[in-house]
Amino acid sequence: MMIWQATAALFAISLGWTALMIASRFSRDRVARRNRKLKRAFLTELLPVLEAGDGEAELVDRWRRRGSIMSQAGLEIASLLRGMERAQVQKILTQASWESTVIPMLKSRKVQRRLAAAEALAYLPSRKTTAALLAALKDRHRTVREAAALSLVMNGHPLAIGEILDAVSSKRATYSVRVSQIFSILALRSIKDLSRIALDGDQDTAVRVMAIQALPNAGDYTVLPDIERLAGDGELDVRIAALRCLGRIAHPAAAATVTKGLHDRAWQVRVVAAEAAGRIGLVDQVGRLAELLDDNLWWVRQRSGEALMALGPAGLQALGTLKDGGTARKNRTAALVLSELAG
Amino acid sequence: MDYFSGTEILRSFAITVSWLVIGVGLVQSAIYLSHLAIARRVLGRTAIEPRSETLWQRYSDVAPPIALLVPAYNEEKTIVESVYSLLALAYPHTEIIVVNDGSTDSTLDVLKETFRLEPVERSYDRIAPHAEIRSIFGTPRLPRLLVVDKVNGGKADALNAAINLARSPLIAAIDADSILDADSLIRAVRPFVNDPLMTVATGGTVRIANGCRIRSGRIVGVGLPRNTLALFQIIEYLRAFLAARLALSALNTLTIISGAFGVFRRNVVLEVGGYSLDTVGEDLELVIKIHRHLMDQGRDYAIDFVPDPVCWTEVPESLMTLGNQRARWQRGALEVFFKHIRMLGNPRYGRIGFIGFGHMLIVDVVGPVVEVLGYLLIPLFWALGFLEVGYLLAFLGLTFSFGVFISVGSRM
Repeated sequence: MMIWQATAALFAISLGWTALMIASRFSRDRVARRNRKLKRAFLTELLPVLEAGDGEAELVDRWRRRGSIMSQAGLEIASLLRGMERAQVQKILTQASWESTVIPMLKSRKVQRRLAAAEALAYLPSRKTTAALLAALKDRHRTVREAAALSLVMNGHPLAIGEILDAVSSKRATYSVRVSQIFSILALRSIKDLSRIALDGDQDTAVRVMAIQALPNAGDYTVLPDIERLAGDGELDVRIAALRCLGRIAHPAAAATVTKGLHDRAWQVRVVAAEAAGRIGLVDQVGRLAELLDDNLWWVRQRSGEALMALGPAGLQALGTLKDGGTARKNRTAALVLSELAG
Repeated sequence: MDYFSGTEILRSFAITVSWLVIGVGLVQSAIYLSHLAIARRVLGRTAIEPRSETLWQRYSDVAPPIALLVPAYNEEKTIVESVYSLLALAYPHTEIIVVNDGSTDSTLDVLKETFRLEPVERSYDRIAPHAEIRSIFGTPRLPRLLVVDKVNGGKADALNAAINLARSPLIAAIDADSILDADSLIRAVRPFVNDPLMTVATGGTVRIANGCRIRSGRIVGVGLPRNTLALFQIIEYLRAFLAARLALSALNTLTIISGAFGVFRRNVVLEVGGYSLDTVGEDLELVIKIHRHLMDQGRDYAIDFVPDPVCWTEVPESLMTLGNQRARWQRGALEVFFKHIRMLGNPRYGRIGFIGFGHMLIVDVVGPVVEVLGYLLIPLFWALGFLEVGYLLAFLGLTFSFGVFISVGSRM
C-alpha cells in the first residue's frame, strides 16, 4: 500500500510541477511579449526626441505610468550611446525617477537582477547611485561586486585600489579577468597607484599582471622605467606581462630590455620579447631574431619569424636568405612565415 | 537434489537478484535525487543573463580567442551551412579549423568551391598525434577559416590535427552536424573569464534539433519532433544536462564534456597529448586524462559545466541507429573506466576517484548489467510465481513515477 501511495504522491507532485511550469511559461511569455512591444513603442518615440535635442519632459510625462519600461529601454539604449545623446537619455531616466526602479533591484534575491542593476548604475551617476553601489561592494556574489566596482570607477568615484581588490576577490582568492576592465579605467586617472600595485612583490601575481596590462592605456611614458624593472621580475607571469606591455607601448627606449628578453631562459618570455621587438621595430635585433628561428620551441620560432616580417625590408631580407640556406629548421620556419604572411 | 530443495535454491536466487536490482535501483535513484537537489541550488545561485547584448557588453573586451575545431567526414550536404553558421557566431575572436577527415564524398570540393579556397602553408607544432595532413586551404577573404585535408583517421585523429594547427589559447570541439546558438561561445567562456587561473574546460548544454525549424544553419524555431524515440531523448538530454552535469560540476567531479560542444584550454589538452586514438569514448577520456594529469601534478583547477550555452544536435530516430549510438557510448565508457581504473577510490584522485569514478561505476558499469538482469529475470520470476503481482506492479509504478518526477524536476 505504501508503495502505491508513494507512486501516487510522486505522480501528483510531477503533475503539479508540470502545470506550474506551463502556467509560468505562458505568463512569462505574455509579459515578455508585452514588454517588448512597449519598449519598441518607447524607443520609437525616443529617437525623434534625441534627434531634435528637446522634448524629454513631454516624453517622460507620456510614459510616466510605464516607469519600469522607460527605465529598462533607456538603460539599454544608454549603454549604446556616447556624448550628448547619452546625456539626453540620462536626463530622461532621471526625470523618469529611474532610481526608484533600479536601486531596489540591488537587493533582489536573484543574482541576475542585482547584477543588471549594478551595471545599469554605471550610466547614471548620482549620490544615491554611489551609496547604493558602495553597499553592493559587499554583495555575496562576486560578479555583482565586480560590476559595482566597475560602475563606481566609471562614475569617477575615487575608490582605492585596495578597496576594489577586497571587493572583487573570490573565496579562493582568485580574480576575474574583468578586474582588468576596472584597471584600464583606473590607468587613465591614477597610473602611479596602478604602477605601485604592479611593482608590489607581495601582491597576488594575477593582480600584478592585470595592473601591468592596464598601464599602456594611459599613453603615459613616465611608467616606462617601472615596466622595464618588471621585465626583470622573478615571477615569470610578471616578466611576460611586462614585455607584452612594452610591445604595446612600442617605445624605442625599451630596446635594451626587450633585447635582454630575447635571451631569457624562459621560452614564454622569448615569445613576447620577439613580439615586442617586431612592434618596436628593433632592426638591430634582426640577427638575434634570425637565431631564434632555430629555437626548440615552436611558438618562439613562429613569433620571431613574424617579428622579422614586421621589421620591414631588413627582416624580409633575413627571412629570404634563411629560406634558401641556414639550418633545416630555420629554413623551414622562414619559408612558412614568408608563405603565410607575405602570401 | 530433490524437487523442493531445487525450488528453494531458485527462490533464494530470485530473492537475491530482486534485492540486487532494487538495491542498485535505489542507489541510482538516490544519485538522481541528489543531482536534482544540487542542480536546483546551483541554478538559484547562477547569474544566467537572458540578453546576448548584455553578455557582449560585459565580456567581449576580455573574452580570449577560441579556435573552433570541426571534424568532417562525408558531410557534403551540411558542411557549408555549418561553416556559415560558425562564421556568424557572436564572439569577438574565433578561428575556424575544418578538418576533412579523408571523406569519400565531395566535402572538400564543396568547401573549396564555396569559399574559393586556395592551398596555403601553415606552420604548426605536431604535438598531438594524427594521420598525415595532405594539404591546408585558406583564403584572404576569410582569414579566420582554415580547411585541412588529411588521411582518414577518425574523429579524435581529426581533432588532434586541428588542435595542433590552432593558435588560440582556447579550443572548442564541435560536431560538423551540430548547430551552436549565436551567443553560445560568449556564454561558455564565462568561467575562463571569471576564474582564468583555475578553469581548464567548460561544457555547455546539448539540446535536440529534431523538430526544430532550421534556416541557414540557425535554429529559428524550437519545436518538438514527431518521432517518439526523439521525444524520449529530449527528456533524457534535459535530465542529463540540466540535472546530472550541473550537479557533478558543482561537486567538482564532472568527468564528461560532450563531444558535440566543449571548450578547453589548448595547452592543457596538449599536455595530455590531445585526444586518445585508441578509444571510441575520446571525449570522456580527454576529461578523465585532464583530471588525472592535473591531479598527478598537484595543480588546482576547475572543469565547469555552464547550463546556458546551447548546442543543437540531431538524434537518431530509428531503433537501430539509436542502438548503435548507445552501444558506442557504452563501449567508450567501459573502455575509459577500465583504462583509468586505478583512479577508482584512489585517495590521490580525491573527489574524482570517489565520486566521479563511483558514479561511473554505478551508472555506466554496474547499472546497465543489473538493469538487463532485472528486465530478464524479474518477469521470469513472476512467471514462475516467485514474485507477487501486486508488489511487482507497485514497484514498476514507483520506478516509473520516480522517473517522471526526476525528469519534470530537472526542468523546474
